[in-house]
Amino acid sequence: MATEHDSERAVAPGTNEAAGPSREEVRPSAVQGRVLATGPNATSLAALIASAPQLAAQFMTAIASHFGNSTVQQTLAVQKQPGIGVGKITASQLNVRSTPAKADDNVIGQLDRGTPVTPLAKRGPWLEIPHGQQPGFVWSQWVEFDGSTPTPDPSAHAETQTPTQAAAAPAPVAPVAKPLPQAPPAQVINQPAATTQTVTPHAVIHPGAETFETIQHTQVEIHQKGEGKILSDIRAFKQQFDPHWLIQLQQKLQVGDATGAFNTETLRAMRDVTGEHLDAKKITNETFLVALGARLGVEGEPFRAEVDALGHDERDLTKTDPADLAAQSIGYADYDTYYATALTPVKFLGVSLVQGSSDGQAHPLLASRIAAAEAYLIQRFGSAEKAITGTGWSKRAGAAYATSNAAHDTKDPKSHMHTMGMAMDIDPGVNPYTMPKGDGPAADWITWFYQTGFELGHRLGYGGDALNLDSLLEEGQQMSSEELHEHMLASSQSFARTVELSEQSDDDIKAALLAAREPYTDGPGDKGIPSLMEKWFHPAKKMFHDAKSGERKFHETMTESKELIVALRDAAGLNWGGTEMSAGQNGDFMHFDTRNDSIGHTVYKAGYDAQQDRKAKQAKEAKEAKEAKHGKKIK
Amino acid sequence: MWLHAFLASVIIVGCSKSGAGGTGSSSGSGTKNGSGVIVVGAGSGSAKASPANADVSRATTIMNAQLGALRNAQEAALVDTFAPDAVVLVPDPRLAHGETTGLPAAIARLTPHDTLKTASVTKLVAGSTPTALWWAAEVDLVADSLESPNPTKTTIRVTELATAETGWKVVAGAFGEVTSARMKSTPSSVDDSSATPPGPLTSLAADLAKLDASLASKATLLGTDKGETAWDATASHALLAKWKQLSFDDAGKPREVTHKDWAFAITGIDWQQPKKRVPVRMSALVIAVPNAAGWQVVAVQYTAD
Repeated sequence: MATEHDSERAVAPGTNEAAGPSREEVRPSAVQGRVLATGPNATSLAALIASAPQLAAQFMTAIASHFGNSTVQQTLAVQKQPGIGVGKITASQLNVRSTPAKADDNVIGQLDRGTPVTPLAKRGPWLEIPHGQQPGFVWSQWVEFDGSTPTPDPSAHAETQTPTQAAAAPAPVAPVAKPLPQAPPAQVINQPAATTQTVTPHAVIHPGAETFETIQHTQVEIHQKGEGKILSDIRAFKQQFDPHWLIQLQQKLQVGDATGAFNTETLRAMRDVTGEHLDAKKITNETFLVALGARLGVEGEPFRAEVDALGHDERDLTKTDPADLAAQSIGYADYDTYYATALTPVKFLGVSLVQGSSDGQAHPLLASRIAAAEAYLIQRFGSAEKAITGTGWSKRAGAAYATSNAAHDTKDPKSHMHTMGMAMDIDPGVNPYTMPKGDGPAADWITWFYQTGFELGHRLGYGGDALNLDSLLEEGQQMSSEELHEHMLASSQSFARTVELSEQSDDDIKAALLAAREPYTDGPGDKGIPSLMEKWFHPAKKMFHDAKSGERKFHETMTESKELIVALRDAAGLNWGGTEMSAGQNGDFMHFDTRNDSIGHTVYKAGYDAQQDRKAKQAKEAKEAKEAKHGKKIK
Repeated sequence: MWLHAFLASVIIVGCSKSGAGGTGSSSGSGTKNGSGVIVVGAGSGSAKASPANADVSRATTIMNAQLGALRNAQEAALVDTFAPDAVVLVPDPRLAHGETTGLPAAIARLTPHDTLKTASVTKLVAGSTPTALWWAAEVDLVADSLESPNPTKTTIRVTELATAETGWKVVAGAFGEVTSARMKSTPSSVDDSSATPPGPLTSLAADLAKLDASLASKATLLGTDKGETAWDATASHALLAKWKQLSFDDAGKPREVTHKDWAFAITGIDWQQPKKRVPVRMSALVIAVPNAAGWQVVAVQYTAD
């Protein structure tokens, strides 16, 4: 996890940290492929913020007075940033909004290009400005300070449209980061104006220590104790929220992050409006929800229909492969019957998942979750096509695989969630499986390599977290999807920078390690520079830079946008393999499955237990064979 | 006209088991083995044909390009060996150039956690006319997996048709893992954009008696299961005879393309077995060349969907 100390040192080695913005001055927002409100704006903001601290209190008072409810206060209680200085509008027409969020009903005016503005404070990517008798908010990307000229950013175009135009494109969504085989040297956020706006996708980005940015570009306080567990339990509920019902509720509750997916703000707002310390059980209680909806004037049903996910066959006791036992655990005769009768072709946003070695099939449980994500995304973006663009999804994905020979392989029969048609992979070519520990020497080495790479990036000051099996699981359990995405993306980009360091000379790498914010020593041991050079940097160079094959060409560890993670995790209730796989294996960033659902878990556990029994039996037989051969007991 | 003189040259290309090394031709111009066919030794995935047979050499050149691209994870290079509208069975029908086909993983049966290590042609039989080239082959693949301590070994069967007018690109192909066909809820079908009305070849895939009568003298026939390989007409007739009790039906939308010098059909096959709730699903590729009486089938492959 990122700490305050991390954020303070979010600069590249060799740069002048003193010239850069401090954590209090700028909190860059991690959005795939770009950095919001960083660079010259941030630097000038920093100087100006420091000059007028008294305005911070006025700002907070004004906002609280304007909105008059605790929910909004929660979302706004973030940066203590007073007045900023004079800027100029660079868009032809820029919307002024009553709240620091993009919504259909909060545009209160428009400013023409060149109009001078004097922001009072910065709220994430938004600037608060005086507007008549009330404050207004404008998108900071389109405000120029000190002669800096923001490069037009297509992803922010919604703020330069009229409300009618903007309605067709619900939220500014950044393009997905592209592979970086020829990436230029990483840039830092305190660079000259000319280059800052074209900051590379792997520029220093730190998750905020106190806030995270929602997909609506509001800033929200990070997780409070117990919230992650509640959100996780809601995702695991057997039914998914109807996004049309939920977005009405969110709007009635004045949730800034009103998207149709259940999120942190919604949880806090529901607790505020009811005055109860609601838990997941209460929040998923349909009677409670219907009553709350009626009280607030929300129309429709809270949940999507529940699917029939069980078989009703007589168990075929002659079929005993792990996949057979997994299928039998939910009422099928055997795996082949399960495959033939339970799995059907599935599409996501109209795209067939018959891709690569996937046959594109899914169990009804997964199919219903994918349909929930689709319904949510279409509600949010207007159409499947717009949702594909808006999420930055490449259309690459798969569902079931390892379903024929692999399920009945005599040596290594598979029964994992793909074999069972209960998992999907998103953009598998660029979202690697980083910590597959326990599945052989290669898997163990890959686990060590990625864990060490994440730690290197973290200690070098490239941002992100020192991800490992423990921290991945912990963050996955504690954080909301939006906060979690910021941490994973920052760690991914930090890892990429560390990989790029491996391309430098040994002397340069050594210098960087010695100058790290948590320096390495040039001595012996696994964490000594000679060992790291031999075991990590040289192999990394070979794997990533010298590789003739396509293996690991992509330096980062994930590409999924925050929009997509919210859709698949919060709206669909899927378990993300990137952070929620298990304590022993994790970091499979392409993977989403249904193991958190009670039926999905039953299948997962039956398959897993059968695999463990099988391995134990094999080990026992091998031991007995060895004992028989040597004529004595072996411990 | 059909079965041009080149067809007389049938070649088996063997490869080293280790998969290491370069082309490693063991015999230069080739030697004869007991079955009376030319045998050329080769290294991992490299099929070096006899220089005396330019057409078979072209088949091995295309296969080598495909396997080289597979080994090096060069998707664009692999796709480039196929004509723009080519449909391939992998094992279900897909557009080779499709945006989301994922052709390397589809052909080599690689999961997202696998890395292909070796690809070795163990057998290749080719035939040709001046404007068409077809071949059948078996390829052994070895992949490392992050999901298993042991390498994954897979054998795939291949049948392809390349044509002169496409610059010797593959216009239709089948790549099927050796495995038993199984019951499946929904038949695979050619995409709407590639589907055509059925022609004379489509029905042959499900009508085994008619298929038997249509086989050319050196036709190859590849089934789905272990041992179901017939590298000449005699073996093909024998294999069809074993299957004569099976009840196949056409399924899904076919793609049948007829040229004056060649034709092919890709279609789904349903095999309804007694007391089973749903049919076993397969796909089939039938390649034929014209003769005076119509079409004679030179290569057939069934894949297990």
